[in-house]
Amino acid sequence: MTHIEIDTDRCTGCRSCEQVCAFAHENMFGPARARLRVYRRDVLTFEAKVCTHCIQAYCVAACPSGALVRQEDRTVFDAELCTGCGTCVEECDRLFWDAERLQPLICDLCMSCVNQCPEQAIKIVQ
Amino acid sequence: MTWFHRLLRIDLTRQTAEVEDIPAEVTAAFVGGKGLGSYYLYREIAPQVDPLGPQNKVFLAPGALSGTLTPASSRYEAVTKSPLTGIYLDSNSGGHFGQELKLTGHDLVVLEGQSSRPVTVVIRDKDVQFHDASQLWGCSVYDTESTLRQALGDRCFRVASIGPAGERLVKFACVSNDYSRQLGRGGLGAVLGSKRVKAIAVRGTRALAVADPDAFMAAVSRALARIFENEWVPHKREHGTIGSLDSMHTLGITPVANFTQSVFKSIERIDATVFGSLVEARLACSNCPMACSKGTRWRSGGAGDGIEGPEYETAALFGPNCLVDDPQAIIQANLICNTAGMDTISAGTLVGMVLGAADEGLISWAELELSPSMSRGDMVVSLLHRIVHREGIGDILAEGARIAGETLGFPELVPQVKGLEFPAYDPRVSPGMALAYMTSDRGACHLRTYPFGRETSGVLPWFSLDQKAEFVKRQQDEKAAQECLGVCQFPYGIGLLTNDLPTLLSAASGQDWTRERLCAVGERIWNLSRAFNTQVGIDRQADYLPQRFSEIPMPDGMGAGHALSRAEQDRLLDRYYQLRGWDQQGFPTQETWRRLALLALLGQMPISN
Repeated sequence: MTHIEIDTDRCTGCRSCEQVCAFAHENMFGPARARLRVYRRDVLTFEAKVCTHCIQAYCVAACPSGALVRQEDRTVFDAELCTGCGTCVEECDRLFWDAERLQPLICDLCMSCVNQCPEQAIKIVQ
Repeated sequence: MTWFHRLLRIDLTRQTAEVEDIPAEVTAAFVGGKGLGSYYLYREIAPQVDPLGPQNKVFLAPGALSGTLTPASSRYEAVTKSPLTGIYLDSNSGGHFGQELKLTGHDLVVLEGQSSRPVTVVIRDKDVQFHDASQLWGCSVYDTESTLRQALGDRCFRVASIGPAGERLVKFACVSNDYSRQLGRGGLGAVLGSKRVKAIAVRGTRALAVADPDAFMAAVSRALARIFENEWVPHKREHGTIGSLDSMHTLGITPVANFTQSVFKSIERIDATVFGSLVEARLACSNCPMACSKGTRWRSGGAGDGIEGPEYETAALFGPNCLVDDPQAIIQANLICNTAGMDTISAGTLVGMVLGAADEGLISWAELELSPSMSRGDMVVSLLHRIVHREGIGDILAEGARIAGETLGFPELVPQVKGLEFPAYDPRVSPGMALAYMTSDRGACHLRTYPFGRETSGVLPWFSLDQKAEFVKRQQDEKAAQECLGVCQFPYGIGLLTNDLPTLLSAASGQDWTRERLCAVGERIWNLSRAFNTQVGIDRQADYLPQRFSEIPMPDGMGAGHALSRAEQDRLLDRYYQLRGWDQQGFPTQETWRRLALLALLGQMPISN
């Protein structure tokens, strides 16, 4: 499936990806609006989370309102249909909760993070 | 807008929190970070307060550009009265705490009063809670951070905490965030320890909209392009600050044996190649394209014992200055300081001083409870452990080098100005760094201005006094402005070298900012901190180097034969005071106070001339 991949060996944890992601979708800054996350695991290592648009699509299966659906090889979100139940983020930790709008945040493969990463640690893969 | 114009005031005594407005004229005059913290310190703290008493306050301030995509916009400031020096203190730290703090929706957090029990202050946007921290008291910095993040159930929480050193009021205890980034200098950890604040955990989910998004993103791109064009950047990306150890040593400025010499025979055992081979990770603070931080691990210490570092200062001070040539011992010393929460600069200079005193026979090895047969690395480690626990002589050393030197009978040996221990540059080898130490607002510091680079590159005449006061004054002002923005000096260079920062601030704020206007903010801050310091007894007499640096020339290396006589220091100070608009005692004049709009903002100068 086409998706964003973050190489945590190259990643330095600067989180510019989170900021540019928020900006690309909201025209505002703030990692809480980002559709990918880089977590600090311990003093020297990181963990990155972003939707892999996996074929199993547990989030799609869990969504009771049809707001998350499969389209070709990816998972897409329709905000109009979302009821804000939050089942999707309970099902998968690669979606994030927008506490302002009470909706999930899911990667739409916009490439902003790929272009911004100063370490070329993020790429789009099939 | 790039400001929320909100101040969060936390009363630790009553365990309450209130929000206040920050007027637009205050951000216009002081911008953020160091400026905002200094303004509120000046307004709210009586200069005579006990730094470890309930009347002292801590002002935590992210910068005006914190929370945006501005490259390297990671740094937040803490301003307080220092328990180590008894004067103004500001300290800043990178990592990711500053960005998170800003996005709670506050430009400034004030911690005041004193909790009756150990407490963790948890700030989640508008919500402030006080969690019992009794179980965390005694825990290392690393354990505190990991435990808290887990307990709070949100991996996005950022934690700033103190370790056992801060709890025991070690006077140079630091506050650490993101495990291994520190508000390092001046004893902020002891101030939090006195308030029984074990940690501050922040989670900011607010969004920040800049005034002109297109102009802002264009300015971000330009700034990034310039950073990658900067010829200094690739070296720091690759090697970090420790990559400078070899060249600093070659230039003769790295201290050896308690700042008595500059040639360290076994430098090749701890050079950039050796430390480079130990690097396990490159680490970046918020939005930083440089990632100068290099992660290493104490090899004897198990899986959890990583550090960001050692940085140049740490390696130089625990290395050559303590006559240690074992890289693992340097990493171990760094790790002890990290986990206990102590400033490696003060600790390295202090331990170097004690070992130097023993080498000279001014104190016996038995008094230090050390054996001359021990390795130098083991001696350093032993002393550090006793400082953290305030055991035996460690209780005296925990008071800092100035008091330790006086108590133990060798005050003439202490490398300090205004009670703050020297960083890893011998001031005899650089009249510019000497003036930087002499005039720094918080005591001897290499981060307020850094003339040494210009001296050795030939932009400034190296061993001459010429142009030093001019350079130091200007760069101090510019650097203070930079510290109002929350950006790091490394990718941009020190100060306001290009229009990138004023352009970013203009686009973010919708206001018209220029280098000149920011520079005036910096100058205002320098007069404010000086006015605070004059009220706690700082005058010209406090602005000199310790006597030995004016009387004993450097014996070896590129600076051989150089010292900075009292007459030369007077020449530097006279010119510096003149440029600052201060009188011969180093007090800001009424005219200067008025010119910088401080009369209108803060009323009369406290000490009239």
